[in-house]
Amino acid sequence: MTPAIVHTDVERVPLQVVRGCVIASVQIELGDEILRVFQQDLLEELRRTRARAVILDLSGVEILDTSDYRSIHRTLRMSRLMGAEPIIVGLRAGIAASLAELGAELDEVRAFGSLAQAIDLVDRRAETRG
Amino acid sequence: MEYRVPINAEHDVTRAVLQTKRCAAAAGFDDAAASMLATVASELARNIVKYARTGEVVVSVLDEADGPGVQIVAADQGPGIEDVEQAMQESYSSGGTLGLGLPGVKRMVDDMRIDTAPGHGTTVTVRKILP
Repeated sequence: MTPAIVHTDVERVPLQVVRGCVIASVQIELGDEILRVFQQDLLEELRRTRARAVILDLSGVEILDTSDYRSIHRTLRMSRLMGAEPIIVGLRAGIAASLAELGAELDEVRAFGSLAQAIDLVDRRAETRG
Repeated sequence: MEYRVPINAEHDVTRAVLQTKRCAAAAGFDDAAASMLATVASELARNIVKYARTGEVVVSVLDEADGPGVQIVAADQGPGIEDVEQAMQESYSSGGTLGLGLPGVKRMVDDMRIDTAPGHGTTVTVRKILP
C-alpha cells in the first residue's frame, strides 16, 4: 500500500467545502512553506470537489507582506484556471492599507468584508445560472 | 525599548515582525498603523533572507525628542545594491519578478535611508513618527 503524502512538520490551512465553495480559513501566520503546502492542498481539493469558488478567509492573519501576497495571488489565479472563482474575505485594515501602499496586484480577485457576503454572492450566481 | 533580531532564516522574519508590533504598540500606534510597520519589518527582513542570507534587524522606540515613533534598522553584509536610484523605481526588480519592495516601504514610513555599496552590504533605516 502506498502511504499518503503527509507534511507533518508544516502547519496547514484547513479547507472545508460549504455549498459548493472551498473555504480556506487562515488562522496561522503565513510563510513560504505553509503557502506552498496550501497551494497543493487547495488545488487538490478543487480537483476533487469541482468547487465553483474558493473563499480565502484572512481575518486571522495579522501581517501579509508582498512575498506572502504574491504567493496567495498566484494560487488564486490557479484556482480560477480550475474553474473556481477566487474570493478574499476578512482582510484587516492594516493589511489592506499595506498591500495598497506596497503596490500589490489586486486585480482578478474579489474581496468582501465577511464570509457571509462572499457565500451570498456565490449562491446568487448559482441561481442565475439555474 | 530596543530589540535586536538576528536574521538567518525565514522564521526570523516572523520574530522581527513580532518585535516591531511590540515597539509600535509601546510607541502608541493603533492596530492598523502597527500592522503597517510590522509589514515594513517583514519586507526588510525578507530582503535580507533573500539577497544576503544573514543580517540583523534592530527595532526601537524613539523617545519624545525624536518621535515618539518607531525606528527599524535592517542591516546585512550581502552583495549590496548596485543602483539605489533604480531600486527605488516602482517596476525595478533584481531577482526575477520580485523586486525589493523598497518604493512601497518608503510610502509607509516618514523617513527612509539606504546605506549600501556593491560588495559592502546594505543598511536600510526607516522611521515612522506617531501622527
